[in-house]
Amino acid sequence: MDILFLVGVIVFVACAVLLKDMMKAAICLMVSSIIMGIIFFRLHAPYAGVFEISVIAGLVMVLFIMTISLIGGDADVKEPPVPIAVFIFLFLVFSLVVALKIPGLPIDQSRVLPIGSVKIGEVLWIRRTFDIIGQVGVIFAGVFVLLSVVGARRKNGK
Amino acid sequence: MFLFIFVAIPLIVASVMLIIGRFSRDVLPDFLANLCFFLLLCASIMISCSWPGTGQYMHILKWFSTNLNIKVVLDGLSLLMIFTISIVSLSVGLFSINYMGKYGSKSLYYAILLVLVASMNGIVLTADLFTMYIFIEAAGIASYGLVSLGRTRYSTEGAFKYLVLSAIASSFILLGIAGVFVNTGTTDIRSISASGFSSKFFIILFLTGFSFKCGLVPFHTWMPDAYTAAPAVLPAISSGIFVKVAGVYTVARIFFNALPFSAGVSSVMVYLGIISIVVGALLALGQSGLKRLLAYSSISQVGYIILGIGIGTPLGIIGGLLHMFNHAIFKSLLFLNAGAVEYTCGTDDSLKLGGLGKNMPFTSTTNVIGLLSAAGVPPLNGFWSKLIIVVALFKANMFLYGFIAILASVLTLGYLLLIQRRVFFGKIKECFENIVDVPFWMNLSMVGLGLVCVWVGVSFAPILIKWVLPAANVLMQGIRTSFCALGGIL
Repeated sequence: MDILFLVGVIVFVACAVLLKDMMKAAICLMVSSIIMGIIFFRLHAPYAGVFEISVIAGLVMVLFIMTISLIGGDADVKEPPVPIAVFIFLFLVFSLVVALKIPGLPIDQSRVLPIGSVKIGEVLWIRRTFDIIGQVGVIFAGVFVLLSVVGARRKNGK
Repeated sequence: MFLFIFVAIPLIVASVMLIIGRFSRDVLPDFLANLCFFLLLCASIMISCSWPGTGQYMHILKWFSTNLNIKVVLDGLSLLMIFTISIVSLSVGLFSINYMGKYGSKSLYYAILLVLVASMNGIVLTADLFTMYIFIEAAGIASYGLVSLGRTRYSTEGAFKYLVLSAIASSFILLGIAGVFVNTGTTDIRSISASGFSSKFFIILFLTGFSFKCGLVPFHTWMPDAYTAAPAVLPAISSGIFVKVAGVYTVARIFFNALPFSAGVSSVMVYLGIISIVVGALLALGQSGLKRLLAYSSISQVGYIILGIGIGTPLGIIGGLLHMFNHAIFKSLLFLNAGAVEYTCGTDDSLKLGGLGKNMPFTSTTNVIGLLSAAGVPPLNGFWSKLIIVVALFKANMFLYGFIAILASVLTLGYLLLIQRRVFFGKIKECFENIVDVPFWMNLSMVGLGLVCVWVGVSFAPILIKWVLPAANVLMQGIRTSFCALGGIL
């Protein structure tokens, strides 16, 4: 299962790099970040998972999308033919390096939470509830600012 | 539950604001937003009246007897901040009734402003570093929105610059929080303090990140561009409170209540403060645009606040915190005055203006009050805080810094009086002969802030005892804890 998640992360990150449309690239990065958060949860690092999702999938994405809107990078762009060969080659090289050179990460077992001691829902919804309120603020701010920027563009006829 | 309204009410009103905007373009959004700000001000005054002066209120939210684990904490420092946020946001809200009509959808503007206020309240009411960071980001995003409301090429450029530099600052702060979390296993401020954790590397990260947010020299470059390009309400609320909440408050909270306040941190804060005071004042000298000049002046004034708090003595902290409150009031007033001039004359370039005082008596009078407060002229509010900071510097044997602070204050008086003379005194220019003073709500807002400047100046002792001393006590408690911890180590 973890391998599937890892493949998912790499595929979406590769798409984020290869896509020319910045908005689509940002969304791909967000998806990869969410999968990364899930991997953290599965590795018994729930706080790292929650922070990853909060910061990268939440805050940074709002910042990216706003920046793209501010500089007008969300206009239609033609996607060039995706260099699949390069991507597959890089993916294989990466897998080979991982398989041969990185046998295992030196993890201090005393700092790893025991399996099943903390559930995702508990950390996300119960222990860090105030963060969710903050995230609501981030999302509201992001949406309102986007509406404002779009309104300004329409007014200027761009 | 009562404390949570400072975050919940603005967020709820913001969420319905766009729907309301479909039914009523101006009246309902104006009414609802200002009612919300008024209620928050009343709530902060009510809490202040019942505040025992020490300790803290801690509420854990419940939903039908289920613990939601939303921990809202209010101590003396948070109370001072909540009170300041409430006063400035109500003034800006009232000013916006007439002022924001030309900047597109009012409901959208109020929605952004409400999110900004909710986020700032969230920053001061949380006791967790990571939650604080999320609220700082939410407030930052709302601020970019307000900058970009200017709807010109320059406002977009200003917003973009603000966005990029703020993102860099945020990454420093986030790295600092990550480091603290890795080393202590918690992001709760009390638990971090109890762990006695301290690391020069993470202190540098925090100081760099928050210096960006404060706009301290040499991290100040975003401020003049962002403030010049935006509608005047943004610099009024940003320079007035956002910079203090996201910068000064968080610096004070982290270095006094979470990490140990060391002599090294004190020195860096004093250096940053004194450099900002001098450079900000010197850069303000050559400016003709009102908002740009006030932006540089803000850099200088925030320098005073950081200098006062950075001294680390009780007197210095009291002076710094009092100046934080005073600066929020008089700088918001000055930015709103600049907005009033721009609203009436279509420009804020002082070289194109002149003799407006006769036709704009309220704006001219309140501008005089604001500039005299900023320069620290007695008996206005700015005088007391600057006096306390200078006395604290002398008592700490920092005579040179004390003299620099006094000289910079004289410089402040010089450039602000020059602007007053150019814009409001002398012979009125032909093209402005028929102008009249700004509408009622804008005047009310400016007069209200002007009265607060006078009130705090004349009866400053009650303000000091009710709001500033409890806040200073919170920071002093942090220093005592640091000394105890150091004593234990030594």
